[in-house]
Amino acid sequence: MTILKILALGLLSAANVASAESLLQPKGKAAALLPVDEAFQLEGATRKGQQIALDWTIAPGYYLYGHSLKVTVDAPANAPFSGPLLPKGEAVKDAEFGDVVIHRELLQARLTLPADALAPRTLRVRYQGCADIGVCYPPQTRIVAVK
Amino acid sequence: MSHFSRQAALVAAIAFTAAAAGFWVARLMPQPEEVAGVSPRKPLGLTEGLEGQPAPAINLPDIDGKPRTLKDWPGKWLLVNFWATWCAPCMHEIPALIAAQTQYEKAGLQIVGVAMDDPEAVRTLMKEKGFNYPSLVGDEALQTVMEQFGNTLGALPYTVLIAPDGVIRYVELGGVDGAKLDLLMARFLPI
Repeated sequence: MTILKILALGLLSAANVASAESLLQPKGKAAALLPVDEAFQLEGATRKGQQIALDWTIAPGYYLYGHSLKVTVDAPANAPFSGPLLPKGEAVKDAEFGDVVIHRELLQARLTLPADALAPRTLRVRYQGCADIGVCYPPQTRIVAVK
Repeated sequence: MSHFSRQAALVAAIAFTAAAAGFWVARLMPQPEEVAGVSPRKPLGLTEGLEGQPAPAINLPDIDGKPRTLKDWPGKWLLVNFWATWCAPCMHEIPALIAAQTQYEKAGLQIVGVAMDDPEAVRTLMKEKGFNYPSLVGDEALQTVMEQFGNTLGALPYTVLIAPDGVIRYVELGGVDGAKLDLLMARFLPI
């Protein structure tokens, strides 16, 4: 066996050890993950005239799905609105879900109230997002007061 | 020292140095799961030291509504995979799990899915993907079960390997692929 072959086998063996070590390292992801309310900070709902803005601050490395964002009126029941209208976001082609839109950093969802309609006092907001490292958080539902 | 011995000693020294360098480079390099801008300031997500502890009980219905527990698969190595149809990383790992169930069934592996989802959505997806292992289902209250299994964030996918004696041997937050499953099986199962 030549010196080069021996050396190559030695290096390959070292690489395999490092590879196996990294494959069985499950804890790093958890150490880097934020609790869901820190990853997706729902700042609140603010009314200006006939518009209500719902704002999120999304931590770096995390994103919310546009299609998962649902808003209903909590009280008074059946108060009408249209929306939510979302910004353009980032188009992503997912192998499983096809073309989806995700939102990073800041997200504002806008609701529009009809003129002379009863304004919502509280909203029920449902949203769901993931982290770039390859984990997703369960859908979150929050009751938000409209300020 | 003969010429051959000197040569062998030189090769051994180079190989040792290379292995040591590779090990320390691997240790010092940033881990791929670290996210830029997100400080790992809190060791959150998993309860440390879960391996070696008895697995908590699971009492959940399967997709047909039949109550199931982990004792329904006695003597098996159970790979409990928490997942959901709304979770893209969960979807991505399903083919590898199906392949592992086929490959390692005779070695005593039984994969059991636990879906945080609507039973109908789970049933449809299992048929579509050709699941060869069962899945239990639960609503968002399943978060409590995951917490008992050490996943305090409730993030998915989450996989736990339980030995036939009911002791947790391995936990993984995030997707698993074929290579990782092969390594896990080689390390733990009698194959």
